[in-house]
Amino acid sequence: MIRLQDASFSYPFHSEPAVKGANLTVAPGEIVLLTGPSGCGKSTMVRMINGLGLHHFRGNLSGQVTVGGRQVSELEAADISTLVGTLFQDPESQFFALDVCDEIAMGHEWRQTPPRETERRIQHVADEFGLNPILDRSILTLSEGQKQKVALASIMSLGPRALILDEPTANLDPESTEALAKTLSALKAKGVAILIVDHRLYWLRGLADKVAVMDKGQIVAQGPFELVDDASLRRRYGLRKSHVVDPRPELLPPELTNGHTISLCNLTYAHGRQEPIFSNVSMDLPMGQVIGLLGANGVGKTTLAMLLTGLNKAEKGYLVIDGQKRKPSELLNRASVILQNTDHQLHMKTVLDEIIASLPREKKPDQKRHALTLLAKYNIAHLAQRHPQSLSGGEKQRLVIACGEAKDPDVLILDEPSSGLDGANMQLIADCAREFAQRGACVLLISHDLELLGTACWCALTLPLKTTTHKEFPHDNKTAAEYHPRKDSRKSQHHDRCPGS
Amino acid sequence: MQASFISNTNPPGSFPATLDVRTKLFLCVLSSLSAIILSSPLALAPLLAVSALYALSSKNIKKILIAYVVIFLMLGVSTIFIVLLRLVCPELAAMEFRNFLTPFLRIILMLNVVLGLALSSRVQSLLMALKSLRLPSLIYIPTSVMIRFIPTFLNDAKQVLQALKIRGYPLTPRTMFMHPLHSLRVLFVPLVFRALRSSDDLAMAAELKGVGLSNSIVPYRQQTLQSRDLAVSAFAVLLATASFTIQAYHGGFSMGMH
Amino acid sequence: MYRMEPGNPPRIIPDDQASLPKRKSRHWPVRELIVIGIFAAVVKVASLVIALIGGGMNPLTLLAKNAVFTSLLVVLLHKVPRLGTLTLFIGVSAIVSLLLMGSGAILLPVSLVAALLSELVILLAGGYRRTIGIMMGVAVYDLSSKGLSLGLSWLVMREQSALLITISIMVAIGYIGALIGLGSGHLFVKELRHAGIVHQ
Repeated sequence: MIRLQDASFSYPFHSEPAVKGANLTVAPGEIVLLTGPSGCGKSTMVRMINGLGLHHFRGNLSGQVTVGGRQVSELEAADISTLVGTLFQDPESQFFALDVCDEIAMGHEWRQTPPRETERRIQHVADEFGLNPILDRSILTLSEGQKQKVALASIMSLGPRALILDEPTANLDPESTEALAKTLSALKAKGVAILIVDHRLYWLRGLADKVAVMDKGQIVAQGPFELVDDASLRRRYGLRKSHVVDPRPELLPPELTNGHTISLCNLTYAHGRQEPIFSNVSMDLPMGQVIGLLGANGVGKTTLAMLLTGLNKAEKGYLVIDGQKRKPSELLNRASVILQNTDHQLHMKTVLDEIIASLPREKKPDQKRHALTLLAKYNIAHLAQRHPQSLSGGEKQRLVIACGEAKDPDVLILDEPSSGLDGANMQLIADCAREFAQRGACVLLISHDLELLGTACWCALTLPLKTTTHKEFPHDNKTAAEYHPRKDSRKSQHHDRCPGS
Repeated sequence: MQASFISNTNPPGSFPATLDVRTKLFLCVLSSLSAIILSSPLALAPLLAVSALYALSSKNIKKILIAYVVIFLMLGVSTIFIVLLRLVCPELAAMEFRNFLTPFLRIILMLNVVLGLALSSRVQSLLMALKSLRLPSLIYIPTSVMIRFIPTFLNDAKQVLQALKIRGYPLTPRTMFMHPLHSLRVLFVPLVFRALRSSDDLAMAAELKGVGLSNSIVPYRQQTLQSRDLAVSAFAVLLATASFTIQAYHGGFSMGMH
Repeated sequence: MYRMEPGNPPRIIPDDQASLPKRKSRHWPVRELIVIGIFAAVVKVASLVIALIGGGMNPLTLLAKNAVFTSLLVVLLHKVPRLGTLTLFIGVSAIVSLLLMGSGAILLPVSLVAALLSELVILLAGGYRRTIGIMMGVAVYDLSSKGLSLGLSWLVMREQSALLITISIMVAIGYIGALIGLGSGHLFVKELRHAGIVHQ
């Protein structure tokens, strides 16, 4: 069981405490949800409980924090982890080994557990979490859901009776989220005390016994899950929705208008010598719409974005923009692609420089004004002189999207832009995506976030796409449209719309 | 050669892949020492022939050829320099064939055994090999972290290069030549920050997992040397001994100091 | 407190029966060992990426590889300012190169000698807490390791030592790159301070 009584915590070199006077209890067999806007102190609460705050960050803890009846201040982090396990947002970042079996064994090997006992515990958690088919797999080949299961199994093999999960659904698709909920329900039934820190609320309906809402380092509301059904409370603290209807069945394939369209035709592509992930498929992407790109993990959503912009080279296939055959690299010049990992996309010394570097040549004369306007739009103007890599995850996400907008693109591709974002920031990104589309751009949104898909998307393409067969595009001056006038019926299949079909 | 660790599979029937990494390391050390000490081409010849067979048995002919071409190119350029040097100052460099032959044979011998190891090593199996070496935690922790993160950072580097293309400053030999500092900056700033963040995340996980609680680990499974490894090592020692004997009879042990 | 114990099935030990031993404090905190391992991986990947972009053996690639190596080493020594960091980093990189590529079987002891010499220089120049000490240490490491490896090359090519000319030119270009890397590494440390990642 986890108990905090009037607990406060401050980091070294910070005058203000990150958490003030927190009172929270998680009883055995209980699931408590801790939520709140970005930067409210949720992660600090986690660090107060698992001992990292004291031992890793060397901060100052006051008040009482106990796990299993023992004060965390009297224990080392490694010992606390046998009382309370912690699952981080990105499970891969906490893996030490390169295969599943070794990863689970790691904690035991360092604790000098006899090999036969380690093997027995591996087998026990493998049976419990259904890991037997992947025990010998490399962790680098696992899906996000599988990685999370492995991390959870590795933690539970140490035998803790309490568990903390920090943003566990940020990288999961809806099906994996559902599977996680089932796993947690089973652990709850076994009497494990579970504290979940998450922005996404809907998946915990019926699972969480209690909710605590944090803001500015304090717990501002606590009660049953229904507490977050209060719309005014959610608005006040920028929380996400407590009830989300899966929008995917309602999102139909994009409707073709008489306006501009990007068509990808007869695409074939495989990673190396593996089975092709696209085999002779075609699709149309009309401008002026926010199009969701749906499908399970590994089905090729990000790869499709890369193929569209020439970042990956297709084995076969061609691109047609407004009836003219084009090279994908031409589209790249007119597109902004916001990749999932924001760290890889920030290169400059200040936030302002990062935006200025993204502005097109015609905006250079008045670059500072343009850049500051964009920063203000994404609520990061006050961070203009900060180093981009020193920002929080949500701030970085908004900065890379602002950089994408600075380019004034005709095509905007957003890959999982809302993972780890609170309700207010998710809404901001959804609004920006719609605004882009209204200005005539084609917005391609790759996301597992049902709430974002429901808020931002007008239509969706679901992968894998069906194989189609087309004739080759003619190599003379006539446009595709002249050869193959498109059908504008919403109900028509994708391959009907592609030039050459 | 370095690219070998990107691949995760060995060609079917690769002989070095069936050997323990410790055996392959032993072959590398033995060959290097033999190459440095031996100076008679006759003594080097048997080692060279067997090492060539060992490299070829990795069944990766294309990579072996590339490595050979690179070595030949480097030696070719060196020879051109020597010819030029002789034009200026003839007494500084002798053009005797034997003087070229011995260094060449040494380099090829060392290259062959290195290729045998490099073309058969997989990152995944290295961690287990590392456990078998029973290193103290002071060395084991950073070494295992390094091996664990090489594939991750290779993937990160690929993504950074993609992000650069998206942002409109692709890295090519030309851009590296025209703007070297800018090119290095845009490539390495994201990588270094990512590395620093990864080290923070991993350090937190390490504290919770109890990594470093004891001076060494108790591996729950480990690689054991097979009879094949012992046979190969014994054969290598015999061969080296034979070469030293040939050298003693034909070339002496002058260390070649002329 | 609960713990799992040997036995089948896993058994839970109640709080009052469990005892947690007091741990000894360590000279090398695990987090610093991890930083060293991570940097060793970055350096290895960086050399590979530069070789792939720059196209193998050419003067520019050599300059860039050495500059990046030295820059990253300067950053590491600021991040983990502890006697022995340089030696441990060199040792770890050499072990992995040996395991992965079989390269440097003989170079390992030579690199370690160069690293120990540099540790001495850093100590004499004011220790790891002073930037000048770190810069001098890295410069000396690069010079001594390159000098010693040239010595090894001479052993291999002693019959025709003129063959060393090409290698010597490459080493010289590499050292120029290393000196450039000292400057860029220093600038990078300043940037990391601005980002709040390296503290004074």
